[in-house]
Amino acid sequence: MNRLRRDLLLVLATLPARALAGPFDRSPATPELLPVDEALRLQPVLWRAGELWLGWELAPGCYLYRDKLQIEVIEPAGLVLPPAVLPPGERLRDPHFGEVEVWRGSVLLRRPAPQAPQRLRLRYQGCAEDRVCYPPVTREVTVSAPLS
Amino acid sequence: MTTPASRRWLRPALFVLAGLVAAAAGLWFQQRTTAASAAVEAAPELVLTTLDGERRRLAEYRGQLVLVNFWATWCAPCLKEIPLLVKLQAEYAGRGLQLLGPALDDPVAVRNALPRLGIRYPVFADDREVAAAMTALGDTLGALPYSVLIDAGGRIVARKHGEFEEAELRALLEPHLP
Repeated sequence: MNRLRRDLLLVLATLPARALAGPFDRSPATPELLPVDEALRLQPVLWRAGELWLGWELAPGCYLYRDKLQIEVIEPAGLVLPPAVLPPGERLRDPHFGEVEVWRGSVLLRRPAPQAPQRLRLRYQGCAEDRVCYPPVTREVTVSAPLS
Repeated sequence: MTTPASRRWLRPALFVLAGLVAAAAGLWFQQRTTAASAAVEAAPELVLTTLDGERRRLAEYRGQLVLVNFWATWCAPCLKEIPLLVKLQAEYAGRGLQLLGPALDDPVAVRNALPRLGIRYPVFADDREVAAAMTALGDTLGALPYSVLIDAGGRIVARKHGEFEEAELRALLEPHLP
C-alpha cells in the first residue's frame, strides 16, 4: 500500500508538468517563434582603432542573409566607408532564390573604418529556418567609440 | 493488502487523479489546436488594395470561408506554401473557400511573381495597408507567412505563423466550410 501511495503521489506531483511538456513539447527542436528583434538580436555597434564592429546574436534556428546586409553612414554626412569584406556564410540551396549564404549563431563583422561614424543605418533580413521570414529590418544606431 | 483506512484515502486520491488526467487531456487537445487557432472573435473591418488599384473590403467575402494568407516574394517559406494554397483554392472553391493573398512587398515584385506562382486568388500589395491588416488580424511577430481563417459568419477561427502542412490545412478547413 505504501508503494501504491508513493507511486500515486509521484504521478500526481508530475502530472501538470507532463501535461505541459507531453507530445506537443516543441523544444528544443522547434523553439518558439520570436519577434524579429529577439530572433535577430543586434548588438551595440562599436568603433575601435579604425574598425567598425557589428554583431548579431541569432536565436537558435534563425539565420541572417549575408547578401541583404547594408550599412549606410548617417552621421557625419558624406563619410564613406571602405568596401566591406564580409565573412563567408553557410551556403543554402533555395528552390526559389538559388544558392544563398546565411550566418547563424553569433555573428561579428569587423569592417575597416579609418574615421569613426557616429550614426549608421543598418538594413538586414533573416528567417527562422523552414518556418517564417522576417521583413527587411532597418535600424538606425549610434556608434560607440572610445572617448578621445 | 489494503486496510479500511488506506481505502478511505485511496478513493479521493483516485478522484483527484482522474480530474488531473481529464485536465491534462483537455490541455493537450487545446495546445494541439492553438498551433493554428485563436479564440473565436469577429474579424475587423479591413480594406485592401489589389494590384490593379481596386479597393476591396474584407466584409465583401462574408458568407465564404476566407483564408487570408500574408506573404512576400522575399519569404522562402511563403513561396514554398503557395502551391498548396493554389491547389486547395481550386479544390474547395465550389464549397465556399476564398483565399486572399495580401503581400507585404513591393507591388512590382508581386506582379512579376504571380505568373510563376500560379496564384489565381485576389492578391493585395500595399506595404502600409498590409502591415496594418496583419496587426489588425492579430499578428504579433511581423513574420511571414501568417494566415488567418475567417468563417462564413465573419469570425476569426484560426491563426498561424509559418507554413501549413497539407493534412493540417485540410483538417482546419473542412469543419468550417459553409
